[in-house]
Amino acid sequence: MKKLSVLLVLLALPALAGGELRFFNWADYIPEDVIADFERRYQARVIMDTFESPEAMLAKLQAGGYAEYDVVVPPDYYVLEMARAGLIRPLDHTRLKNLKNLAEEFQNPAYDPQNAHSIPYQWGTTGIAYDSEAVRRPVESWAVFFDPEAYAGPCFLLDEMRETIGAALKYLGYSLNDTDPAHLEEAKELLIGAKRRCLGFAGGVEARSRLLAGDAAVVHAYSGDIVQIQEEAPSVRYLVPKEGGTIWTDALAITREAPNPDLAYAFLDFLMEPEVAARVSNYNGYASPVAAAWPLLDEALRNNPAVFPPKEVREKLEYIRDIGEAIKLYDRVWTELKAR
Amino acid sequence: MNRLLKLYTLIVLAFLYLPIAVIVVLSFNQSRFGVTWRGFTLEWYQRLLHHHRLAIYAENTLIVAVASTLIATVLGTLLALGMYRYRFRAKGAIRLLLYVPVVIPDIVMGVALLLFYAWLRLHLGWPRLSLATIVIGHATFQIAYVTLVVRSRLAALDPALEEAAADLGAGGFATFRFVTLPLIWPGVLAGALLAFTLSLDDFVITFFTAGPGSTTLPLYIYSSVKRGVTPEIHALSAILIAATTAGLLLGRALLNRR
Repeated sequence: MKKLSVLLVLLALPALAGGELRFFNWADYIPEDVIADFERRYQARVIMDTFESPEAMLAKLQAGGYAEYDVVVPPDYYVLEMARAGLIRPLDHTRLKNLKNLAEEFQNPAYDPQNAHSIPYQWGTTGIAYDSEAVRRPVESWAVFFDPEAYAGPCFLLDEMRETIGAALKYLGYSLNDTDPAHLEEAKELLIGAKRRCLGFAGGVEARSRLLAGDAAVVHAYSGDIVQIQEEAPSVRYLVPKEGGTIWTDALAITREAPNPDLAYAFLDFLMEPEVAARVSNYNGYASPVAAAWPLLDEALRNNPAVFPPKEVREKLEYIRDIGEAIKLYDRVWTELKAR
Repeated sequence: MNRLLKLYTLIVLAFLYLPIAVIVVLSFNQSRFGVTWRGFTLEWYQRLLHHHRLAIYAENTLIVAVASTLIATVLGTLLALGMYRYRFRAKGAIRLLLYVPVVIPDIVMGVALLLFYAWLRLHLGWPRLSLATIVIGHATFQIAYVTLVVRSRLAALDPALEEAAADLGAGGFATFRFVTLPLIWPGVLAGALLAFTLSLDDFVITFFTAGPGSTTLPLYIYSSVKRGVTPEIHALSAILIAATTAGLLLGRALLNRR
């Protein structure tokens, strides 16, 4: 009887892939117990290395990492570029039976049509974070940065070229991938004014610290950074301005010459299981693209509009896209802005 | 004037040690995200104990530090000994070359090693970047430090002692084993400890020579900065600071011993 039950358990398990999975990820971006569960189920060992920026990740892959790592976590705007450069492989969808668990809007995302090379891992938005007890007037628009009349308190702009210029373009009613030099010139004028009124530029985490410390009342910020601190600082709010903001997705992809592609496919499929995806999001504080996982999320996360913006906000979100040569226009605006 | 000098000393010391003190203080802070003090806790140290992944990174760091220190200490001591005992033509050049790994910017060394490994791989298909390539990288600069420390110890050694040993019939090895080594032992140990601490917190050279599966603590700490340094990292940094300081103090004590 005991033997039989062991046999049944073995049969119920997916094909045991075994071996090692080499995973290249952001630091502190997946809960340890999720990895441990995967290792147990597939009799495998996960070796995880971490990177601090997408550029560093790309450099390591180009230096031969495409044959050494199995799974990587590129940001949305790198997926197609990495596919073109032959660093990641096209995905065989027949090996990803949990693809159906993805929310509809992630079945065919703009950054990687048909999920041909990647599956989404986590997503979030860029908008405005503010301390509701410190602002002088309600915050609902990018105007808090760009309109002197709407100034709501000490502020910080994000130290990210595309995000910050994108915010000004959004406020003006243009796309944040706009490449019209005249529009960019308008954005530059707005940003110069904003820089004068604000305390300066700050990275996501620094802006968050300044908000927590009370140095700033309003900051341009990433949703996930702010969601994490809301428990500790209940007066801090996050919103996507009424003009719209940025949506970003971190994807999972398999390298072109992954040493263990079977295990890599198993890992991707594993992370799209509802229960696993829910644990990942509960840990990270970011939104999950796996719709089947939503009912399993912590109450505070599921009902937080900063994590899951309502539909009317979703429609105003835009991905930052690769704009090719036009990036030079942005570079110039950014340099002139920083030089003032 | 004297008071001014005291004040100046205090400012310099504060400048050097305040940032370190801040990290240590924050490692006991209850607040997870802010830099504002919210009360004392040991929670982060406790969590550190259960952080499986960090344990692997710590293990990698120690493997590299121990292995590279062993290699560098043996080779470095032999080099110092050779330069002390024998006269040869390229001695002046070698003495000069010894300073190169000490003064060369780490980044140049790191890139050079990366390119060298890539070049080897192209022609021999070996080595793949791994812990072993980090060990070799670290040993490369550690050897110079060990040699310099051991040489300073040897300089104070009375050559008559070795001659006396030879007169009494000791061979080359016996002289080394029973006379020279015991005399220079504090220098060897001090060099080894210096090398160990250098390896423990090296970031730049490790960054360039690390491959999959060879993340060390400095690499991990660096990669977590952008996503927000967690208090676990502060706790870990505090432990690293304590370990490095202890190593340095021990090295100093041994070096000063007669």
